[in-house]
Parts: sequence; structure tokens; C-alpha cells
Amino acid sequence: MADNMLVTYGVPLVLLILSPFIGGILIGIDRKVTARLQNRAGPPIVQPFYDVLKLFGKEDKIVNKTYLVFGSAYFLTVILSLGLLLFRYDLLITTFTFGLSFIFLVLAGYSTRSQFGYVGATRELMQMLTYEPILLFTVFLVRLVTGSFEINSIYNAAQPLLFALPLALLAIFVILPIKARKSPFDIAEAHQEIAQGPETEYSGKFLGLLYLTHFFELFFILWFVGLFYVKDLPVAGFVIPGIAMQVLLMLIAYVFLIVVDNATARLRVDQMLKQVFILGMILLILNLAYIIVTGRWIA
Amino acid sequence: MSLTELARKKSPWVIHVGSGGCNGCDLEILACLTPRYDASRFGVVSTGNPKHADIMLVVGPVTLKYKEIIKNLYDQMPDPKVVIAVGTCASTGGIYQGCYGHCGSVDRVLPVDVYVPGCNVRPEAVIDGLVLALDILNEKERKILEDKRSKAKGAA
Repeated sequence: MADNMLVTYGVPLVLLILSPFIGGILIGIDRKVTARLQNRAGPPIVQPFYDVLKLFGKEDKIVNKTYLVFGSAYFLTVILSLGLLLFRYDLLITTFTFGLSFIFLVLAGYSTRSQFGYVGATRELMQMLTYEPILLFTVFLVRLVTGSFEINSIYNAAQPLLFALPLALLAIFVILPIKARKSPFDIAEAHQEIAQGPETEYSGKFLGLLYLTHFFELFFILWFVGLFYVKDLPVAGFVIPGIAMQVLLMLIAYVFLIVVDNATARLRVDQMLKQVFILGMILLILNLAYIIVTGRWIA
Repeated sequence: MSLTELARKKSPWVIHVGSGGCNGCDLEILACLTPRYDASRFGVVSTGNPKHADIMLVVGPVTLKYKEIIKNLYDQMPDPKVVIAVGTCASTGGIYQGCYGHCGSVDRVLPVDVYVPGCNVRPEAVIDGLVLALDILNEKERKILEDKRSKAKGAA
């Protein structure tokens, strides 16, 4: 019994504590790989940690109190949603909490009264408008296949989600760069056009807090993708454990993010809205038809 | 050296301000970010935002109209901050010396910490100046902390 407790509560807790380090290292590797692709030497892999530490040692130039509250709320809700995901709570609530964190970032952008923050927040809202329906639709499809919104039911299902929802995973991959704030959808943080979007007015510790939040966020979205294959895979006598398959899927998503980031240029907001929304919805509806035709759904 | 000081040395974020020169040195600064010189291996990020920046690279002599703007930009940067005057014009006024529309060199407007002369400057010289500025960043922070401490003592 004690051993069981350790697995159900200990492992997620350790992952939650390690997630900023994992996310930071992943961002560092991303910067290094990008630099090598452009034939540059690039910063060291631990560079994101240097950045955050430096920001925590700087002076705070505070504009008003409101945006500090919203920035901290953004930080806390992302950690909360990651915790809910790792402790296998309700998938729907997890997704909504993650969406709420974006809302807090938008409010932070609006409350600074700076035109860069304002434009960035508006673009962030447009991005939410694009990815949130697709994400929710995917969660409903997961419910349809597993019979419950509980994340545990994904682990207890007879088959991994990938076999029932291959096109939904593809739709998630399409919206992945939006959630990771990478090209071609780094519209809200387009630093060549509008400074840093909602983060423009932050400085010092609170900017460091936002950077830490991005580490958590990256880990959240990769773990979310990893949920699509959590079952053991028997291959020629061996059994590959479910956690290994999950990590493999996370790695695929991560490499996909880097490749797409380097291969594409930034889109306009309206282009993103049209292309991603139409493509994502077509994929999801096809997947829904596939589920209904093959009778995999559980009412 | 504490961890924060190490981190500060490893991640200088730069804001690049052109205050009315001929754009020659601006291009050389951009060349620092290209694969040949690659300033990003020292953790340099070029931000367009004074609130995120540690180091201000000023290029060109300060025109009268730009005086207020550059002061404003300097005030928006959080401490510790360093100003580097890049190019002969920014360091001494150069060929704009005595010109009616200019204040002359940057140090008449802002406290400059590092001078990188040259017309145009070489990208290597700019990187040298950046590395010099990193030590000054930590020195400045130590000084600020000391001032705070002595002030607190005086108050008590």
C-alpha cells in the first residue's frame, strides 16, 4: 500500500519539482540546435537558467500593481494546471485551468496601458480563439473514446489513445507552436514588431517569473502530447514500458517544434486564424467520423 | 563570485540605440550577430526593449532632438546598467564636432562606461567592449548594494 502511495503521489511530485529544470534545459537545447542550424556556435545549454537568475538579481521597475498581480496569477495557474495534469486529475478542468493562465497573461498585457502590451494582448486573445476550440474538441474526443474525463481512464484504457485518435493528435501538433509561442505562430511575442507583447512592461524579478512560467508551460504541453501513448508496447519479445513510449512521443513533439520553428516565417493573425482553425477542425471532424464508424465510442 | 553575479556575466541583454549617426556602426553591430562573429555565444540577446536590457549600445553623436529620448530610454533601464559608446562619433563627436544640430559625444548626455572608438568600429572591437562591460555590470551592482547598506546604517 505504501509503495502504491509512493507511485501515485511521489512520482508526480518529483516531476512537478523537476519540470522547470527539464523545461529550461529543453529551451536551452532548442537555442543551441537553432544556432547550429544557422552555422553559429550558440549560447550554452544552461543559458535560460542564467537569464532567469540574472533577472532575479535586477532592479524592479514597477508600472502599477495590477499587472504584477496578473503576472503572478499567470505563474500560479500554469503550475496549478501542470500539477492537475501530473496528479491525473480531470482532463477538462486541467485544460480550462491552462486556458485561464493565458487569460491572466492577456489581462496583464491590457493592464499596463502600454501600446505594445495592448497589441500583444489582443494578439494573444486571437491565438486563444484559434487553439482553444481545437483543444477542447480534442478533450471531448478523448472523453468519447475512454468514457471519462479522468486522466486515469487514459491509463486504464485497453488501447493507447493514438490508435483511436490519430488525426486529433495531428490537430494538436498543428496548434503546438501556438502554445509553445514559436514560429510560425509567435505572433503575440513578435519581438521585431511589438517589443515583447504582453511582457513588454515587465522587468526584474517579475520578468524572471514569466520566464520560469514558460519552462513550466513547455513541460505541460509536451506531457499533454505524451498522454496519447501511455500503454506498454510489446515488440518482438520485449515490452517497452508505457512511460518510455510517452517520453518518445514527447521527444517527437519537441523535435517537431524545433524543425517547424526554424523552417517557417511568422504568419499574420488572420492567416493563422483561417489556416489553423480550418485545418484543425477538418482533422477533428474526420477523426470523429472515424470513431463513430468503427464504433470505438463509449456513451 | 556569487551565482547571481555569474549569471549576470553570462547573460547580457543589449538594446541598440542609433542616436543620429551615419548608420555605418549600426551595420557593424548587426554583423556581431551573424555566424562569423556570433555574439550570442556569450548569451547576448538583442532586445528592442529598454526594460529588459542590461547594456545600451549607443551609436552616433546625440542630436538635439534625440537628447530627451535617449535620457528617457536610459531612465527606463533597470539597474545595474552599462552604456557603451560605439564608434568615434559616439565617443568623441568625431566629424560632427561643433556641428549646430548636435550635443556632441554621448558622455555629455549619459554616463558612459565603455568607449569603443573606430570609424567604422570592427565587430571584434564591439565584442571586446561588451566583454569589458560585463565586469563593470557586477562592479556597479556591488556599489549600489553598498550605497543601500550605508544608507540603511545612516538611517538607523
